[in-house]
Amino acid sequence: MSTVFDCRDRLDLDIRTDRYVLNMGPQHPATHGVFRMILTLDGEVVVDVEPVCGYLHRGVEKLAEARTYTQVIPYTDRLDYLAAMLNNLGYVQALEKMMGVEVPERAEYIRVICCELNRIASHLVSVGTFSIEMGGFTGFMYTFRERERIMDLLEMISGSRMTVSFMRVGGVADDLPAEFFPAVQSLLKDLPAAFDEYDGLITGNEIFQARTKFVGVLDPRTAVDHSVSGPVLRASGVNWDLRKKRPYSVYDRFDFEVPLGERGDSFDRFRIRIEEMRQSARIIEQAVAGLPEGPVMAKVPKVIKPPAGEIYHEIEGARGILGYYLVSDGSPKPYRMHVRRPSFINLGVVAELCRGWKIADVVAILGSVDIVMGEVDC
Amino acid sequence: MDVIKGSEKEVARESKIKEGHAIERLTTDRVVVEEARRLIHIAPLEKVLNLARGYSFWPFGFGLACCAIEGLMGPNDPRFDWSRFGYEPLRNSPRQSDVMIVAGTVTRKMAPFLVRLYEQMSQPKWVIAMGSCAIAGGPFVDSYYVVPGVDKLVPVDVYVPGCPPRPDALLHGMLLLRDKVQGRKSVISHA
Amino acid sequence: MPDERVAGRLAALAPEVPSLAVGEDAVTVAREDLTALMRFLKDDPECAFDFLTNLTATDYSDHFTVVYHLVSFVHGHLLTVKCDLPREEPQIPTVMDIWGGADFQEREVFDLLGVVFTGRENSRILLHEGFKGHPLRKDFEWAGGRES
Repeated sequence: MSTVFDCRDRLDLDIRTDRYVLNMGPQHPATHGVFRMILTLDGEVVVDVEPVCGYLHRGVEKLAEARTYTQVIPYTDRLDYLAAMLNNLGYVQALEKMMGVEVPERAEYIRVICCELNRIASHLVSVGTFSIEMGGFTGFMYTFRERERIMDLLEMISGSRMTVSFMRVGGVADDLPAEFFPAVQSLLKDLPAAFDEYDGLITGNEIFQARTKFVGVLDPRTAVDHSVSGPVLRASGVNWDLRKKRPYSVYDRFDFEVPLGERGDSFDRFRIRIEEMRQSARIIEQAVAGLPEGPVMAKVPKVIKPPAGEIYHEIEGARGILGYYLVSDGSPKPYRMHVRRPSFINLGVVAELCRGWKIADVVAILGSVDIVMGEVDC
Repeated sequence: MDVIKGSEKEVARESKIKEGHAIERLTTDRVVVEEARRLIHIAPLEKVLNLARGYSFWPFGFGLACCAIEGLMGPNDPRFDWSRFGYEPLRNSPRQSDVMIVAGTVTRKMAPFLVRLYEQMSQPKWVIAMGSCAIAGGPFVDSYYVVPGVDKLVPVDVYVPGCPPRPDALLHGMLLLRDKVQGRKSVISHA
Repeated sequence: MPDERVAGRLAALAPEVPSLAVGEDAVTVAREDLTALMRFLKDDPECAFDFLTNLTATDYSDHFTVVYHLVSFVHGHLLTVKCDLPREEPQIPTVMDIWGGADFQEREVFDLLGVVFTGRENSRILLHEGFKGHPLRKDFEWAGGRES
């Protein structure tokens, strides 16, 4: 016997609604940081969303002009702080391209291992917080259990759990310690079972599916037109992953797949991230197995002074295409640094996705787009 | 502790030691007095309330930046688990919380909201400044848009240094706050 | 350098867009011809630049340069388009109606550099409404800093 009862059906009630403005944020548990959305509602249905960001604008691009190129590396950590290694990589690769520095093979493999570990850690936060936002606190506990193990690995490698500042122009700061290898093997052995656990706990959950399936559908044309990238784009079925389309570092040596979505709804955006974690685990396994011997740092001058000119370099970050635009005037400090932040640009499509849904769905849509305010506001 | 003979302080101290337990005014039965001394403690109400408060801080989820991951999500996860200490209810409404953990950089755009939310919290309330940015602006101190430290806006009780501090460092900070609230002698920790 | 196919199409376009110059690293154009060029780059099937990946600007003290990085998902090639603006009058037509993804990025450029995009509403996005000045300009001064 169904317990769903909609009085409007039975009694032919026409509920009169009013239009009003509701403020969500900047302090809010489900806005992924200090983000504000000014919702115009008609009853409970969202008519318009005005996203207001900038509450974490720290002026990194201006600060970069007052620092040396190496001193900027810790600032890149703090942009997308959940995937610091990836931010580092984009920046140092841009500089290496500009200076014509060739990175030793072992360093490239270490970079790939670190980046994929950090990608898994970042997706774990995304999956865990999405689960909380849908009401399931337990999902968070399980994902963070694995994340803590990855944090331990990152601490072993770089000395810091989160803001690592590990990459340098020409290689990486240090070699992998001996205790890293058994630890990563043990983690890789446990990860597939953990991913299956999340599938059972979160992905397969009826309430979760009811709240995310068909909610906030993004069609591929709109996605490409709005410069959306990353898991959000791939969930809409557009096959664009820079690790495959324009391979950088040594990604072309590894065998992995790019998961694509079918419907482009919040559920697909979530499911893609779990699949991407599986693929990242595959990459790490191959990279650790094929790790060559050699130095971890190329011969670079003590003071990084790229020749005058400019460069734009993109990598596949955890949230989308992360690009660095650097203009050099020949001095040790950048003349201009601009970061193409995927979260900032992906945010442009959120307003359109939310129209016509209810407030609870706004949380689902925003959670599935997965923004990080450090990156949005720069 | 300076002891100046004959001062008011010393006289008061001496009399307090001589003073017995309040139960002794009712009975002289040794067994009763011993049990009472063991079980019944007379203290000002505030001290008892502080005992309770210190063991059950309800943090206000004011995560701003990177420190929020280590400071609000980190202690919540199964490894660091601050529910062991009673600090698990991370309330999102300022009315229902008593510790505001400022985790992250305070920008000029966010500053008025921070102050407003602090004012909305009901007494007693405390503030923990977590991370370099909240303490003094951090690596962004010379930015045009960053407030160099949250103590420029609200009074801070505990400073937890780090960039970001580990979740256990924040837990240590919360235990320091507990000691401060419960009146135990703990001002600076050199741990 | 631009892809051969793109270079060929740009050469064919040259009569209609007189200020177009195809350089080593980028294509430069004057702001009067910007809209025509951008529309061509998106609509032309050989170019098919359907993805605007980056839109930013730099203050070169005597002029501004707005930079567009375009990607074609169809063909896979890239292109950089640059447009110089006079410092006293930093105005440039918007490309928001060509690529929706330009919206936030143009607002950011307006906010931090003060470049005005004509044909759309320019509003701040990162800084608060009453903020005076544009921080990424080289002559921007502000109080505060490291306590020495």
